Amino acid sequence: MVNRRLPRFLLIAIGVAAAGACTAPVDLSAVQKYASTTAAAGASFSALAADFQASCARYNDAHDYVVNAASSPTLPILVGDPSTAQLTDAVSIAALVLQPGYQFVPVASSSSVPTPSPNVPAPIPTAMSNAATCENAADVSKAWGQANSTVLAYVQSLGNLANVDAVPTINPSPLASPLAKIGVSSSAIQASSAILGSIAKFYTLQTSERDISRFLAEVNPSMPGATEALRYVDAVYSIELADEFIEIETQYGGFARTELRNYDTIKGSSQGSINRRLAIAQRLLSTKAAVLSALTFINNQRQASAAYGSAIDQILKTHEQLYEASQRRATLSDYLNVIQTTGAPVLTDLDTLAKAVKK
Amino acid sequence: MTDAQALVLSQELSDLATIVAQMLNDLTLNLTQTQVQQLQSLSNQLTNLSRQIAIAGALAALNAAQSDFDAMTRATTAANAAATQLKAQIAKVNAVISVLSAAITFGAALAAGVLGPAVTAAGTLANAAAAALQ
Repeated sequence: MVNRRLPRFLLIAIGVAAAGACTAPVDLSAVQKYASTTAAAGASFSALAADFQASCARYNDAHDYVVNAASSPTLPILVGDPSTAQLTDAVSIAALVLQPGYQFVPVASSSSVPTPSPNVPAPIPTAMSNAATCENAADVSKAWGQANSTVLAYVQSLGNLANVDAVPTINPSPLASPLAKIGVSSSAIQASSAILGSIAKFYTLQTSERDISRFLAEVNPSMPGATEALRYVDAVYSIELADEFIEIETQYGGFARTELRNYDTIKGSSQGSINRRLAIAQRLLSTKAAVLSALTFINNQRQASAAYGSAIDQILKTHEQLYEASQRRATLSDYLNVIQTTGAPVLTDLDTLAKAVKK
Repeated sequence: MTDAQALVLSQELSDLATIVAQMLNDLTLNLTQTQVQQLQSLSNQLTNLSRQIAIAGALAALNAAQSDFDAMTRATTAANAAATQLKAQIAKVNAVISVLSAAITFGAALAAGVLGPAVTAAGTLANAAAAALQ
């Protein structure tokens, strides 16, 4: 009886499984890499968000930074007696220029996309104290950090949904022994096991694709507004860094001019005069080294800011294409193509960001 | 003024301050002490205003987008639940296979008329069914 019914079951099962068998195996490593790399960028994202507040504090301390560097020279004692012109040339920091940061372009002006929600009237502060400004910066740091986590969680979830390899497979082996006992041939058992596996794979892919499509549709209305806010904050961070750079430059410019004027007023070739001139020169060169170090750090952060903004841009573009694909009833292969093309630059941006933050 | 305009204004103030800072740092440029102090003060005012406008704008932009972030969080939570559910469903299928296996064994034992193995198989079937129903 069982043997007579089995072929009919097999025929039905083969029919269902055929659809699964037609689905080409999908290499999901690109999806997994996209999700895992983006999730791993959490540390870099957090570092940038935290530095928003820190930059505000450094700006306020710029004067003290220059004065402290001058009061404790770190360079070895100088020899020789450079002219004022030679020293002027040696202590110039004009060669170190501000590196490009992130430039914000509102989505509304570059496409027909409706004005996103962050584009609301911004208050113009008047005569705010440095402490109050940095309190605002602290609030931005906190909110930016939380917002970053939200976007990273979105990418991570996308990876979870697409990662069908992580789903346990159907295990038909417990059936083998009882089927053999009732006289089912080993080839039929193997065939039914394979069919069960195909059905399971087909079901898993179908469910994954449906879940991804639903997720993209749910996120889609919020994605432009959320990413626009992140890009805006990042552009503000770039400006904040520029202002910090300029403030340190300004403090150093005033300091260097005063020191050079003092240097020039010490005349004569007595050892005492030479020693006084050398002390000023040493102070100036030590301060220049400290200032260059601070400015280089700011430039690294500006580079990180540019990479972050670019990554957010690309995450939005990748989302938009994934969503478009989902509207055409995309398969996992279609999603994979989007990740491998539009999503690929995200990985480059995140790599640049991680390196810049570590410098 | 919109947040985009605030950002442009902030950037322009910063650009102006850059020019002032470059003048100060061109050490070959002859400036009196008074001029240096005036330029320092001007640069400081420009950068201070630039960052105040920018930081206030950033706070406003994040606050305005909060509902978007909340919606994304809700969708992400639902998506994670769906991914977990899929794994649970496959586990359920495996449990059903165990039931099927036990049922076939039980049926075969009954058909053969051997009571001992039939009772054992019935116990296995009951356990498998209980596991599948969990």
